[in-house]
Amino acid sequence: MKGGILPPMRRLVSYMGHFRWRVACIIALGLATSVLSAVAPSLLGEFTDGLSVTLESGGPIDLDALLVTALSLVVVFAVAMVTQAAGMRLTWVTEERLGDRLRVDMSRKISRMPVGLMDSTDTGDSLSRLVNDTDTLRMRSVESVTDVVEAVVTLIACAVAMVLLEPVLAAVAFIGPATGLVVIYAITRTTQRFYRAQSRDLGSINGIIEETYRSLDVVDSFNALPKVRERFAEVNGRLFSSAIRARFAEGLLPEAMSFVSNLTYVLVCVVGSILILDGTSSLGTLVAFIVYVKMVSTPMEHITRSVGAVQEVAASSERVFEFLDREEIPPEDPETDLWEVKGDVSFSSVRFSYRPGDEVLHGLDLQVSAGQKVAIVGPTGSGKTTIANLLLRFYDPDSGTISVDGCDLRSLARSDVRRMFAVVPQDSWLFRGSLRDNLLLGNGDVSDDRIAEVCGSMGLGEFVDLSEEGIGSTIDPDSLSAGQRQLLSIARAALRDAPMLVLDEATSSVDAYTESVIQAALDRISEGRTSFVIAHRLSTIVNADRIVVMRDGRVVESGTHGELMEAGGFYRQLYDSQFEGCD
Amino acid sequence: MILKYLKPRDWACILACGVLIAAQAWLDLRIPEYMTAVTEAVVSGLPPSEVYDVGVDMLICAFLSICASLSAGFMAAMASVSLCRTLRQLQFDKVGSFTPEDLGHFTIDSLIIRGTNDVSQIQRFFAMALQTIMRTPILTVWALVKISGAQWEWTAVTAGGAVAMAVSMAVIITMSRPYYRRVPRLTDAINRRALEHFTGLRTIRAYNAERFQQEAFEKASDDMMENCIVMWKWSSLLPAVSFGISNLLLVAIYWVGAVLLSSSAPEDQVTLFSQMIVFSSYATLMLGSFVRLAFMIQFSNRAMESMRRIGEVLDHEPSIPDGSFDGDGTDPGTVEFDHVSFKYPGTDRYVLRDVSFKVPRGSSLAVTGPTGSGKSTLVALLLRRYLPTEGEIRVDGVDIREYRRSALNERIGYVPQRSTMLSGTVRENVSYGSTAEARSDDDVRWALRVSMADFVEGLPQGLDSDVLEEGRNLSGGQRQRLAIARAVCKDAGIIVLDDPFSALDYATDKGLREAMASELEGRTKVMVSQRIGSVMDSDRILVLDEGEAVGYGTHAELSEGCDRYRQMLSLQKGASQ
Repeated sequence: MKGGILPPMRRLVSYMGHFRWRVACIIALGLATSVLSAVAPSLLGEFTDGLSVTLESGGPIDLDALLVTALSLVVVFAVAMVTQAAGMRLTWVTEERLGDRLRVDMSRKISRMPVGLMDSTDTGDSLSRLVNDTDTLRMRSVESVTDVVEAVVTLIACAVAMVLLEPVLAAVAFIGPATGLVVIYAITRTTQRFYRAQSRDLGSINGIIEETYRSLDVVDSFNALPKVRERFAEVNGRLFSSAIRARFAEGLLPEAMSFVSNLTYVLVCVVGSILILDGTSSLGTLVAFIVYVKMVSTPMEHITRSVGAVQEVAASSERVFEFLDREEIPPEDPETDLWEVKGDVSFSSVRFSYRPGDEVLHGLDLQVSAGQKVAIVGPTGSGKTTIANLLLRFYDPDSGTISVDGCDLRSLARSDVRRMFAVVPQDSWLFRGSLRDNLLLGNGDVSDDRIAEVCGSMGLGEFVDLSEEGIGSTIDPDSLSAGQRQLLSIARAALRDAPMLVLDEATSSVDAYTESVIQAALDRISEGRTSFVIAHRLSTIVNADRIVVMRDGRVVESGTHGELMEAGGFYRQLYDSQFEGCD
Repeated sequence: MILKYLKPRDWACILACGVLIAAQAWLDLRIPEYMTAVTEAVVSGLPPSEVYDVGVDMLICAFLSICASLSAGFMAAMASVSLCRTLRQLQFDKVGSFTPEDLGHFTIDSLIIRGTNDVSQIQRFFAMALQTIMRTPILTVWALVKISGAQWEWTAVTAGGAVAMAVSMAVIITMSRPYYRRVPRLTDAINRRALEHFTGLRTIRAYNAERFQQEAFEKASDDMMENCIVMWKWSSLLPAVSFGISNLLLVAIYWVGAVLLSSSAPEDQVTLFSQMIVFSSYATLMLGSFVRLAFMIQFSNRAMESMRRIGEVLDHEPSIPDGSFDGDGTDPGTVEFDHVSFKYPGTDRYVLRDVSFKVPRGSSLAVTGPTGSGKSTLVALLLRRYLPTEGEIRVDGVDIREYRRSALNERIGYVPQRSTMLSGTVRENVSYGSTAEARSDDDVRWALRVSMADFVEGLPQGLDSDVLEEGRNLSGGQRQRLAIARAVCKDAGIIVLDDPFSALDYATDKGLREAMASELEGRTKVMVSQRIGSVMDSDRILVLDEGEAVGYGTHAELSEGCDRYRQMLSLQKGASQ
């Protein structure tokens, strides 16, 4: 992968643009603190000089004059304390805000990625980006950037002062730091891979943990734990070595730099004393220089101490921004606003493939009139769920059009398309939260009575009554049976007052009795609404207005139950198979 | 408690780190002395060669200090990174032994954070703490030695400074502590919301609930931010206040010095002056090391909370203790429930009541009944996900409590209700588990044939086709058939299927049952299903209703004698005609 820390850092700095005033304040406060800390030693010097001068002269000590110096020192220190505290506070608060913003942006990003891309995303790794990488940025990003900026400003100021004083010595004094900076940059190009590996390995670890814990039922039953543990140990070992290398690299630089500044100190002294012997320089200049050399070494040490942080930040921001840069659903420009939907739906020569070259629907034609109940049946893998996916615009057809009331779905905003449907998907999804939130998902203002009524009609009355706080009580999806989850998922659709219904295997996990109860409720809801019912269990669809039989991505038969039974085709075969041997 | 997870090698690193730090502290304290000597040499006009000689001594000293400090840093990093590797591995291994009850106790989103983020916190803290803890006493003692015997006024001022420092540090640390402690839990919440968005993607989109989910996420994220802002407001005082106090102390020492000097005899003044310089430098050195200690204590709040959370996982006793039996059973291939009753932990309602049956080797039992009648619970008990409240379950004639977990798993091929797939290839998913190496492609193909998963042959890459996490690129029916193939491929004497046909059409369902009957003749089968059509050709059928066995027999017997069964039968037929 590409080398340096500069591209991700540039990206991060431009993201910090959102906080530019805060960042500017932090830098200003930081510089003020350094100026004050530079002033303090000279005041202290004044104090000791005042003392030592009087000592040498043997005169009485002028406590009043010293008091002035002491008080100004107190003032300087007090102001420095305030600027430092303010700078720190602003830095850390800004880092929190930056972290929050990044997290929120990443979460928004999830809504903007196409379903297909999300399916192939490693959930655990993405979570690690969202939690661990933003955590690194939250702890170190602003600090490392402003530290470097402040240090560079201080360095430049020192350099200017020194060149003005004595160019030769300035050159000598800057050899060390300049080489240091070059060497640092060269080193980061090599060591960056440890930081990058560290972030990536943490992501993989998160991936293994997430997948294993969520599938523990299967992993354990198949005695796959020893193997998964082995794989975990391997990645964990990799993380160990990348982390240890990163830590070592992080420690190496400041140490090397403090040696360089000691070396510079000695060099300046030696060269200085030669210059004094030559008579080209004065003792006073040299002493001033010694002070500057010490001043240069402080920002240099700051830089080197920040290098590790910068590298870690670079590695994490690379992963965060890579996520934020992923492909998005193309922006839409809806030509049509949502109208009072009647519910005429038409598919005309719709072709579709999830992967190029692997077509699932081969020119599907289907006309459904408003208010019809259409059942879609066919063997598994014949493309039934794909129809639901296309209706909801999770995907768009490769060619052909799907239209509602004569209007191409692509001319509508996706959210408007979805507003037309109430959906019961194949896999019921519920989350730990109140029953109410689970059923409404933030949609609409539905009264508690209405919710209770719908739950009652779904055979969930007892379930709701048993919960302590009724529909306000928290549910834990893991403790519900598959049947209960499905019932809640249906109740959710029933509460969504949409003109059309899509039921994808809505009752596969409930028993025949419950199913008949739900069926009655669903029949009431679907009254006058176009509904698409995908089902394996043919019992649920015999009274559909129309049954569409699919096979290998095509409609092979279509008609009412009676017509299809009479025709004696594929449907008849399917239908009869469920009663064979049953008397 | 953190210490018990250190390995001997880690202890060696810590020991080495201590020695190196002591050496480095000693060297570091000498560098300023050399530096002064160099400056003096220059100022007093010594020739460059002498400046050079003293300079070289100083450089040697500085170089040795660097070597010591680098090695000490390396040793500290080694110990902390290695500790964290251990903590990650131990947690992962531990959670592997958890039952659904244990997982529910911690929740998966929190376990993920404990396994990664919490460990990283400890890594950051531990290396820092190691060095600080060792350096602080050395520097403090050194400084105390240097300044002992000075004027009591200075000592008093310094003591006052130390007390002021200690008090303000204590206040800041105490005030910020609760906020530090809250961070891991807030991290859990962020993780949970994000995980929800990933798992509920389709539903969230279909219901235009992106905004709703985003608001929930932002709430979690903002909670974290607000908590941390308050935390930082306190914490940001720590460095400023501590530097402020040590600087003010410096001024105080100088001022006291000036007053002392003004009242002392002229011949004592020079000594007093140099004492003052020495005293001030060591007093600030000492306070400086206090500051580092204060920082460490502050960060320890978060790290200790993380450690507590990790400890909670590591010390958690799985709700079902493992057995030790690993041999051959007395009655191979049999499954027996002996008066089994069950209540979920923490509830007082029986989900199963007094259920008894025995499935002989090679025979098949179907369990049927309405939603919520306890069918899946029965399977969970058989797999020892929970222990029966009363009664005993025997597999191969042995109480399942006796088994070593892996030994029990080995005997059972399991098809879960949710067809969980793992990321990998079709081959890896079907030949999944401990015996994967022993499975040839022919075995895999055979299993796919038995489970009617012929669609695999149609995939461009056949057995090497990718299966995405959770099988997201497969239809419900395809997933279900692969899940069956996986259980078939595992060469277990007993096969347990929990509602295995829910996503399949009747033709596939029927074909599957026929293929299983003929190809898996010797295996004992226990199957749960709502569909009468799917259960009727089983050797025995158990009808459950509200946790009670209301019928047990063959299809023919139940059609005669079991009202509930007849009812279900007529309902399913009735609905279809």
